[in-house]
Amino acid sequence: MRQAWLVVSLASLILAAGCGGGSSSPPPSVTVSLSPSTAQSITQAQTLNITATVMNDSSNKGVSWNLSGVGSLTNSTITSVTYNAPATVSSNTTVTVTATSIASTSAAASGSNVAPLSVDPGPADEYANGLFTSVTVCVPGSTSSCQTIDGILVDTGSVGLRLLSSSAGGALTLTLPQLNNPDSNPVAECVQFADTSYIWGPVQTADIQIAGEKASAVPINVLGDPGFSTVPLSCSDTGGPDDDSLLAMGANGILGVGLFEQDCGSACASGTPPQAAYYECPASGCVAALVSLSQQVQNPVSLFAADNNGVIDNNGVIIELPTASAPQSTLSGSLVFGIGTQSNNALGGAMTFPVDGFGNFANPVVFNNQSYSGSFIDSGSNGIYFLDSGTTGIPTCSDATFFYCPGSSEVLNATNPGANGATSTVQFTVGNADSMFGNNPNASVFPALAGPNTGSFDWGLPFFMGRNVFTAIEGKSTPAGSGPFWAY
Amino acid sequence: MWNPRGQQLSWLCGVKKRELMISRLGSRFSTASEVSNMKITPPQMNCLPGFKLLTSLLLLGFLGSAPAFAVLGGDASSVQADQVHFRATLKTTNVEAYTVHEMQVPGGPLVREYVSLDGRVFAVAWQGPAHPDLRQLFGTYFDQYQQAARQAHQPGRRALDIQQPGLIVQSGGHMRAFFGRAYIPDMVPAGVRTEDIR
Repeated sequence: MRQAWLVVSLASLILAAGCGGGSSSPPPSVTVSLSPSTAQSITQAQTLNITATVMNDSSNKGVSWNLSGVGSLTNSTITSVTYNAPATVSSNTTVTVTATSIASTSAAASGSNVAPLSVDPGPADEYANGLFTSVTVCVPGSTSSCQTIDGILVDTGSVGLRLLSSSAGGALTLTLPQLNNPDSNPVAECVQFADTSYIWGPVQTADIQIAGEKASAVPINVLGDPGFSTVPLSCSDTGGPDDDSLLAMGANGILGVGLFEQDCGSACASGTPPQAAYYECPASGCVAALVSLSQQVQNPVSLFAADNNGVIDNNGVIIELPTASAPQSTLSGSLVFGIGTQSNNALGGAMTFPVDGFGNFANPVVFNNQSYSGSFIDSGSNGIYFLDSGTTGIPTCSDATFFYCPGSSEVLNATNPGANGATSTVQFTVGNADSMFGNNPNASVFPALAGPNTGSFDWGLPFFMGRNVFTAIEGKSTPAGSGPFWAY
Repeated sequence: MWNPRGQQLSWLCGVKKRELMISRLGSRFSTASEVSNMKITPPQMNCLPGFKLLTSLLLLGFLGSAPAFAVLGGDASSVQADQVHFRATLKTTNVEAYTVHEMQVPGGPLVREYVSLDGRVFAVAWQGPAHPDLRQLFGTYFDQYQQAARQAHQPGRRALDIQQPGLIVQSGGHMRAFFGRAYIPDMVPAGVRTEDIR
């Protein structure tokens, strides 16, 4: 029988090192060359080894690999990969293997749209893989009643700024104006988390400034506010712990810079008021209530104003973190605002990944030839959480069933679903959480921290290490189309 | 907690409402281990043979609102439907070893209850914009779950994974899309794959 051929075309891309507006001269250009350097024809079941050479790669970051088309990538390193053709191919087909340079980003990214990121133990000195930044809030319209609060968790899996008040161990001491609904009742909110824990507090308004970006009179969520000390039963009856304290939250707040413009959206603006969401709080007590879109807690990025040059960086964010190959004490990176709006936030060679209305990949993640829908990328998750022991064969830790503890580290591959059938192979490491923590008592960065997540993949912070991950906001246009989507 | 009027519209055997109130209140105030040691003959019911009900009968009075769901570990008939007052879509699927009752709560999650052939709710699962009222759904297992969830808690948004010999509870997701499930390993019918509980 005549065999079909595969043409493996090779593409190399430079990830633009940011050099926006600074006084220092731009670094020498990073270039990538591939070997073999031209398209190759191979037959089904064959493999092809590809190596990348990166010039002017001063931090030796190398490349990351993407595959568009059938087959798989294995044995990937920062300079080489093996393409594996499928066992059978019914007709001649072309696949593209792309190498994208991971130029050093933390030093290079600069500009008024860049905020520093730090992976560190956080204000409660206890966080593993916690991604933190600082946010300045002011009473709306004031330039003197302001506070800059650090230790704010950067979370692409949620939307909205939430600040823990000082009376609950957080840092917020400002008295912000209470948001009242059209019936003149104070608005408050219950927010749940994946592990059934929750937070509770009033919606108040603040001017927000992060780096050079500003948003005015933004509804935010204040937690542990003494004026709202009674938590409604409908909020606490999931039964999980109350996270309204510094020790429980591990942070002074959460900056939700996810895929949507409001945290809840239309489900909280019309129809049956969802329980455990928004409440109005007359003197008689808080009851579940609808809240208009504009009064809900907003994605601060989507409300950023234009800068002095008329540029608006409000269509999404990029999280840029360098690679960490082993547990280490801290990691520095950049939170870049805007996608394709300035010279330092271009998509470059990043592949886009469509998402559905729930904030999950629009198509399943594939692992060991099984499909897992409901998977997602989330900087607020502090590990790679996927499937369960029965499916993966990886035991959980005896003292912490939410982490994996394999006998020795395992290197695994999964495939993320890009647009138009494109796929991206992700290689990740599952380390033994107990020994990583035990052997590295002063570390807060754990690139191989992983645990179970029944039925799907939660690509948490280790996924972001060594990548530039774009989160595009619903309805906002970008050079790659309207959000919502991820890209990397 | 979802709308307390969210109720299942099918049941395997009928229960008088007052007796139902007592059994739910009783289970609220006893620990899982107490309950499992008590085999109480239930009030007169029109049930399938071989029916068992785990509960304790503490006469504490009448609860105002009807329970919304079958109770984990309890009897599928521990729900009194209120079709007149509540619109819910219901789908019931029968497979060889169990029945799945599925209900969409307005403004809340989709909840599935897995009932074995002898009428016990051996598993529950949910997905949606919020977790359900687990105090109601888990019944006598709520205290055990709550204690484990609080002990397990460490900073860091991640999935919940409680693995105890008598109770498994797992939850996860993110804002706008949460999911979870709970099951009692000893009650899962032979041959049923836990991957099917979702």
